[in-house]
Amino acid sequence: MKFQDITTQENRASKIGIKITIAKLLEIAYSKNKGLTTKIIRKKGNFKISINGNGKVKLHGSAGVLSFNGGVALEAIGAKVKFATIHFSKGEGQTANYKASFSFAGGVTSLSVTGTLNIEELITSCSGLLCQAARLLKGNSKRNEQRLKEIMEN
Amino acid sequence: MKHLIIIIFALVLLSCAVTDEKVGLFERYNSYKSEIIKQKSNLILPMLSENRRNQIKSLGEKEFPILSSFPNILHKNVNHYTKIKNKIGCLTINGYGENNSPIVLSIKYLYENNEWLVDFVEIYYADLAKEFQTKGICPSES
Repeated sequence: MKFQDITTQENRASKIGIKITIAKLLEIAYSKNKGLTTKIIRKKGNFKISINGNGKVKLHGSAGVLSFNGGVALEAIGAKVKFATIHFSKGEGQTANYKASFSFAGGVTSLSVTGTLNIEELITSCSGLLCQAARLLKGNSKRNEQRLKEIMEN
Repeated sequence: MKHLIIIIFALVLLSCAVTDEKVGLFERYNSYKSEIIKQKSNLILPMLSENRRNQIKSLGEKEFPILSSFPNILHKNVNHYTKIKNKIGCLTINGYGENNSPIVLSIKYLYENNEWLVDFVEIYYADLAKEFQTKGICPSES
């Protein structure tokens, strides 16, 4: 692979792209089963999201997983994910800290991202992140992506 | 004569064990659902593996949302398959959930104390019904 190709892939699979993807993955889980997703992300213990090379996403609860196809959400990264894990742990107040590690097909590069999001804001109202992400999924404008980026950069 | 009685007794015990092990996993799944309704509870502890029972006693029921939700996920069953190897049994049910969404429910059972007990569950939300499984698969825990 040429240097230019590597650089392009790294740029496309940016940290911002990963943050947007995390938001979209949570939104998809929420759209599949609102009640169960809420219980998993609200439970006291840590939770995790994993992605395999086929784009299958798993939201890990204790003694079980909720899984689905990452499809649209993974397109935001712009590179094929080989595998990824996103660990969520309790932060201060109603926040959750997350640490994401993404590896991309071809072994060219991997990226790690950390951040914090407000769990209650995420799930309690339609002004929360999940509803915003749901709306943003329907559009693809730069303005929408910018808004989602702002949400995940808290 | 004494030895003969012991042998017959052992054979009877063995046949009971084999019979129990062959109790269908789908029947166990339906029994679990029936108990949920009968007991008006989210979790039926005696029907969970020993390891899960201990974890729930230690951490609390709220930490196990998937175990307490899986019996209510499918609103309509299409078909089911099983896979049994040694003391691990897996039940895969294809069906439809809320809003008629296609779902593949996979449940891992452990054979403990002469009965199949729920240990791990995967709820897969398929995009299309053509993703339905055609054989019993065990949920991946990693």
